[in-house]
Amino acid sequence: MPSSVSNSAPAHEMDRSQPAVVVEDLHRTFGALKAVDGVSFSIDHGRVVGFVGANGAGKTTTMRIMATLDSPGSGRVCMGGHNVVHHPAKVRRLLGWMPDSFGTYEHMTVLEYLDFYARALGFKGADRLRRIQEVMDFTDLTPLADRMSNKMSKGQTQRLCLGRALLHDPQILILDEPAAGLDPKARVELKNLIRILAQEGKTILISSHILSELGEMCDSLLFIDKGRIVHHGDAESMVRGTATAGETLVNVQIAGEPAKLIEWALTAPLIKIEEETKRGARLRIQAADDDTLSGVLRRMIQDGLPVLDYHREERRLEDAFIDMLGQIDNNTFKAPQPPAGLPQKNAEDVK
Amino acid sequence: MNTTLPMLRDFSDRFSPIVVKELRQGLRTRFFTSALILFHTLIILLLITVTFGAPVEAVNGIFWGIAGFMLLVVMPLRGFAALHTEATDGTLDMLTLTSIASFRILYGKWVALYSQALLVAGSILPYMVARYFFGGVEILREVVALVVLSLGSGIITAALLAFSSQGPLLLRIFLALCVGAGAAPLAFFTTFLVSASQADSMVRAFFALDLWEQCSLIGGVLVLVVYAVYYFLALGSSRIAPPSENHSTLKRLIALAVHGALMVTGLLLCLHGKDPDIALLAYLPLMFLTLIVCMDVLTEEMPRYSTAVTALTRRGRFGRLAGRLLYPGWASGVLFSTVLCAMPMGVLTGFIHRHSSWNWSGSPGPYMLCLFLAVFVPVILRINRANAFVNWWVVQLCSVICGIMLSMFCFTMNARELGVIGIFTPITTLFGVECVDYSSRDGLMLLGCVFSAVWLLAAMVRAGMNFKTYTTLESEALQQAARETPRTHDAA
Repeated sequence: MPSSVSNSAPAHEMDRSQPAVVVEDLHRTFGALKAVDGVSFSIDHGRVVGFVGANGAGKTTTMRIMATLDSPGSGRVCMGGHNVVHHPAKVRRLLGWMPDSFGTYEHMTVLEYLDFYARALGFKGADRLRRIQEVMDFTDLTPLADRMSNKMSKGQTQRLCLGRALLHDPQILILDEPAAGLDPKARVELKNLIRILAQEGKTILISSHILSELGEMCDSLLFIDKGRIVHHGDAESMVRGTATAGETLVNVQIAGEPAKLIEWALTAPLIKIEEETKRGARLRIQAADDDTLSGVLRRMIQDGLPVLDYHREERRLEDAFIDMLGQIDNNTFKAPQPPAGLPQKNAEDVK
Repeated sequence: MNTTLPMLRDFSDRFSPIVVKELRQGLRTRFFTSALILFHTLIILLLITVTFGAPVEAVNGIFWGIAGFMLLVVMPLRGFAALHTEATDGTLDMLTLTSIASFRILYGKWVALYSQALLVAGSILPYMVARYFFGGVEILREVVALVVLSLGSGIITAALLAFSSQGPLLLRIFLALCVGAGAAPLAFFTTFLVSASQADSMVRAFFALDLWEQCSLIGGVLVLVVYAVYYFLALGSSRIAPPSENHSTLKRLIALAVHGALMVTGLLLCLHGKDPDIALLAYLPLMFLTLIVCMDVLTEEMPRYSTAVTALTRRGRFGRLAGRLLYPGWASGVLFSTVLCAMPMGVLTGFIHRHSSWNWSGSPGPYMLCLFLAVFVPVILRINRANAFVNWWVVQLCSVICGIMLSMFCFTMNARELGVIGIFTPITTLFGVECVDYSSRDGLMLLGCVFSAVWLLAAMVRAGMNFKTYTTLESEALQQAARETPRTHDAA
């Protein structure tokens, strides 16, 4: 298992008196489409922040602007104290960018690929080889050094992309959907690499659809919807904040056809079907006290349902996110208080 | 460490990273090796036919046809989708995030492609020597032909690379065809050099010139070639660079310097040289290049960020004034294009003045003037509002189609006097003039030039109205400078 990838060379110029990332009132439109609509947030040094939102919510556009690959319509974005518009070169020296989809080159081995980017980043001679060796060891690519870079699995390609992003030992990493399309093993490997990078004190912004993984890895989460930040806080506050008081999720499994349970739940009072499962359903019961919950179980058995399993569920981050989007659409969402030191502006902006 | 990696020693650190990458990839592709093997096989077969008594002239023609096709078509075509592929694969973003400037990306790609073309050109030399021994070959003319083909290959490669930044495939094909049309004179010139007996008289006429004239001509052509390559690469790089960067000012300054130098040399050759016809022939490509430069600056997006105007704004009032000519964006491009077009027109005027048998209206002058004025029409006619570059080409294409339809109408209806309808745009004027009677042509041409000048005036008015964008950005740049100065003092 790799241990460290920090370069022995001095870190690039970074203003540590300011947060690592500052985004203020960022707007970006494409024709009539408002891709980013007044996004503001900041990230302190050494924090790992998850960036969550549905497809087309504005995550990638925001990240591309932060990475100097796109320009803001209006607003200010500073990375390591440097404005992305006025000092893009300084920002690029501080930044490692891993896009959601990226191409490799034909007729180029993994070693040549990294050698090319190391040259492009200004590494010379033995220094370049040492750095490539460090990165390849960290991402476990050394056995693949002679493999053609466009003939690798998705997981290996993602590791190559991460390796490329780490070549110049950036202090800030922006990872756009790094786990998309990876098998479980590759996903665990990638998660471990990110964990090590976080331990090294790098500031990481990572977007993903797999919210449970983000919840484990990240110090806080940024939720974006329709180009606006709707929540910035830790996973727990998110789960707490969107929970409807007096409701409980229960997972029920029965012997035989689950249709019986669905049919029963449709007619039962205080019960809504949250999700059908293979052997039963997840039910939302509009009560939280033990008596009512045990009463529901009793009624199921009395009505002849062959119940195999009946247990109360902890709320998942995915549920919280979906609930939040629903509450936003119904204008009933109340943003939870962000953790200390995080800006509140956009949490209050939510319609 | 797990295992020790092998050191990559194929290229020194002195090489540009992009050149290293492109050469590593390029020399491994099947396309290059297959094309090279096929080329040599054909040439060898061709030489074998000579030993069996095939006519030398026919063999010469085929030999140069194959060489020209290889150098002017096959090798440059490898740049046709170079930038587009990088953009769609997402690798262009990766390159942007390194410290490589967008111009160096293009330059590296060009060097890699062109060095492979030179490799092919170099491999022709032994066959030239072999043919020389078979007889019937004028080696000096053939060497000049090879040099012309090699230089032309460099320009075409740069042009295709520049246009490969455009997304739509149809547009790229159209632009490639335009480049092909532009390169056709090179092919004709090469054919003329290696096969026509008049080429000898041209060579003799060249050697009859004074030394300063010979140096001016060769120097001018070489400067023009280097500049054409630079300009195409700069054009492509400005299209892939982030919008906050200013690639236009340097490009325009170099354009002014090169045009100025070539104009002075051209005027000297036209007015004081022994043979002004040769001078004009050498300077025709400059006029073609001027049209491309104008197309480029007139299709630039207006800058959105103060960073694009900072450098000139900080130079005070003079800098801001110069900015109206040199800032990025089509508005300043209108003024810049006007100045630029005036330079080759000056050379042409000098040539007409020297040519005793010509007057202005009966010379190529009004035709060139119409072509130069045509570049301003898309500034006013906005068919495609989303993409100024596409708009420029669509408007020009529409003008040509209108002109062709007008000609067809006039000739089929036997109403040649209706050619006068063409005077409303510069391009249709050129078609309209060809429709009317010989005696009316000069008058109609003059009228067409006057009408066409209205497009320039309208473009200038529209540009003037958009200058407020520059004023706003200048204020922002000055504010930014004021904000940064105390920070610099604090740091000190």
